[in-house]
Amino acid sequence: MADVETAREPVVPTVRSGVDLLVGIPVLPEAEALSALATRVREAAQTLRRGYSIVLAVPGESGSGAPASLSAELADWEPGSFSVQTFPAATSPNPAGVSWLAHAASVRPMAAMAAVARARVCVLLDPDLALNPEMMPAPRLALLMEPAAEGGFDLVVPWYAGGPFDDLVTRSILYPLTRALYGARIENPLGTMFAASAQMFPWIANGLTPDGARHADRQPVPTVLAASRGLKICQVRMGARPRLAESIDLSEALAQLAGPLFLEMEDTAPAWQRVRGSHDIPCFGAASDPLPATEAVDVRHFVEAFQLGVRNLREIWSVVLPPVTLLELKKLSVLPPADFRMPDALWARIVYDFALAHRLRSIRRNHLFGALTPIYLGWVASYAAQANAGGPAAAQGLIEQLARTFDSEKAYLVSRWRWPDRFQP
Amino acid sequence: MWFQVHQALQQSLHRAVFMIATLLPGVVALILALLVSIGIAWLLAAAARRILAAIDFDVRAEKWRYANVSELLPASAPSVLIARVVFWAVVLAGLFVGIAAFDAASAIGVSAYVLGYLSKIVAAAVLLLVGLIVARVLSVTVLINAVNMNLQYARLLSLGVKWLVLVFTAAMVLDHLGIARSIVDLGFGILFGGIVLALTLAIGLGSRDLVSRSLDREREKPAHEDEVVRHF
Repeated sequence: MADVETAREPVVPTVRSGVDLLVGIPVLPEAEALSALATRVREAAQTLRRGYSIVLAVPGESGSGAPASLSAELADWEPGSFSVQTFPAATSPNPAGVSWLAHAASVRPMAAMAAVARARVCVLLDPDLALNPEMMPAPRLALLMEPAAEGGFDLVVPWYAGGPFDDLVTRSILYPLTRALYGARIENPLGTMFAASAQMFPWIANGLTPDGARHADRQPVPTVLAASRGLKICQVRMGARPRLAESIDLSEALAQLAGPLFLEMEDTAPAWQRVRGSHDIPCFGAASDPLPATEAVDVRHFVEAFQLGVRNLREIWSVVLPPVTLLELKKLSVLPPADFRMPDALWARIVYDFALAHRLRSIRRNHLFGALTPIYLGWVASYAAQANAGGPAAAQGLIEQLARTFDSEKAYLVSRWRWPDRFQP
Repeated sequence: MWFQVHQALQQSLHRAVFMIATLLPGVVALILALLVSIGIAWLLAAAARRILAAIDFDVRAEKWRYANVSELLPASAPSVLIARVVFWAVVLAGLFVGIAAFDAASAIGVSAYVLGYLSKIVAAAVLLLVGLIVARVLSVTVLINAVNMNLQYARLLSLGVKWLVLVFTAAMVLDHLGIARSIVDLGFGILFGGIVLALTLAIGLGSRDLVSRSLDREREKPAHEDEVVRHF
C-alpha cells in the first residue's frame, strides 16, 4: 500500500485564453454521450445570470472521434460561446483503486489548463455521474457552476445523499478529521468532482503548500487547499452517487482515502493548529431526507475481525498507540457483539495517533493502514449496532456526535503533534 | 650413548630457545599492538558516546525503532551499541596489526589467511543483516494481511514465513563462511523442508478446526453484506 500519488508535471495543451468556464471530464465518452453532455452544459450555463464562453475539455485527439463530431455540431451553435478542447489523457497510478478516485490523476492537468486559459471557473466532472443525464441533469450542473461563477465561492464541492451504511470511511475518518482540523464541515472532503475559482488553479496545478513547498507528485485535496487558506467553500446537494463494484481491499482503500489527508496534515500543520472549533459552510440545493438502510447489518463479522486484530496485532499497535488505548481495545475485545460499543473519544484518538504515526513513519505506511483496518472494522461494528437500532436519522446524529468528539479531542492531537516524544509508547 | 642423549637434549633445547627467540619479538609486538589498540578504542568509543549523546541519537533512533531493525537493537541504548561497535572494530584492527607484526617476525603466514577470511566475515554479516530485515518485514506484512483476510492462523503463518527466511539466511551465511558446507546443504534442505512440512501439517491437520472455522465464517458471511455496508 503506497501513498496515493497522481500525475507528475501536468502536460498543459494550448488552449485559447479568455474563457469563462472550463468544464473538464477525465474520460472520453462516445460521440452521442459527449454531445448530450455538451448540450446539458450549455443549458446549465444559460441558466446563469450572464452569458459565459465555455470550453469543454476532453481527453483525446482533436481532429478525430467524438471531439471532432462535437466540433462539427458546435458550428450550429452561437459562435464563440462554446468550444471543445482536447488534452492528453492522464493515466491513473491506481487503475484498480477506489472507483470514485480513479480520475484523480486528471485534477492537476485540468487545473493547469484552466490557469493557462485564464478561465474564471473550472468545473471538473465525475464521468460516472456526469454522463448519466438522470443523475446529472442540467439544473444540477448549474447548481455546481453557479456558486463559483456568480456566488463568489472559491470551491464548490458536492454533497452526496446516502444511507446510514454508505461511505463509512468518509463518515468515520475523512469528514470528522477535516472538520476538526480546518473547522469547515465538509461532508465529502475527498473527491474528484468540484468547481473552483481562478484563485485555486495554481495551488491545485502546482501542489503548493501554504508555506510555499511544492508537492506536484501528490493527489491534490482541493478542500484542504481551500480550507487551510480560509477561502470560501460551499456544498451543493447532488443526490446519490452511482455505486460501482469495488474490487479493492479495505486496507488499500483506507490508504488511498486517508493517506492524502494525512499527507496534507503534515503540510498544513501551522494552519490547522490555530483552528478552534468548526462551523457550517453554505449548502445549496434541495435537502432530502437521509436514505433508509436496505436492511439491518449483522455486526458479528465486524466484531470478530476486530477481535482477531486484538489477538494478533497488539505488538504492531503498541508502536502507534499509547498503552491506555491498547488497554481499552483489549477490554473491548472481550465484549459480546450485542454489547460492543467503541467510545467516540477512543476512535478519535486512534485516528489522531495513526495520523501522527503516518507523519513520524513509526511503522511503514503500507503496514500502518493494514494495522488500522481491524480497529476501523471495530468502529463499524459499534456504529452499525447503534444505527440498526436507531434508523437513518439516528445514524446521522451518531456521525455528528462523533464529529463533535473529534473537535473536542483535537487538543490531544495538537499536543501529540507538537511533542510526540512525550507520549512515546 | 650418554653422549648422544646429551647431544639430542642440547639440540632440542637449542631449537626451543631459538624458536622462542624467533617468536618473542612477534608476541611482544602482538601484545603491544593489542594494548595500544585497546587504548585508542577506549578513547574513540568514549568520543562516539559523547557525540551521539550531543545529537540526541537515542531519541532519534527510538523514532525508527520499528523500522525493521528492532530485533537487532540491544536492550541498552543504541548509542551504547555504536560505541561498542567502534571499540571492538578498533581492537580487531589492532589485533590484525599485531598478527601482521607477529607474521613478519616469525614468517609463519597467519595474517594472509586471517585477512582473507575477514572479507568473507564482513559479507556474511551483511547477508545476516539483510536476512533479519527481510524476515521482519515479511513476517509483519504476512501477519497484517492474514489478519485482514480474517485468517485465524495469521500468527502461525507469520512465524512460519519468518523462520523460513531466517533458516534460509543462516544457511547462506554458513555456506558463505565455508563452515561445514555439506552438512549445511543437507541440514538446510531438511530444516527448510521440515518447516514447510510442519506448516502444511499444522494448517492441514493440527489447525484443521481453526481453518474450517475460518472458512465457515467466510461462508456464513452474508453474500450481500458488502451491498449493505459500503465503506467507500
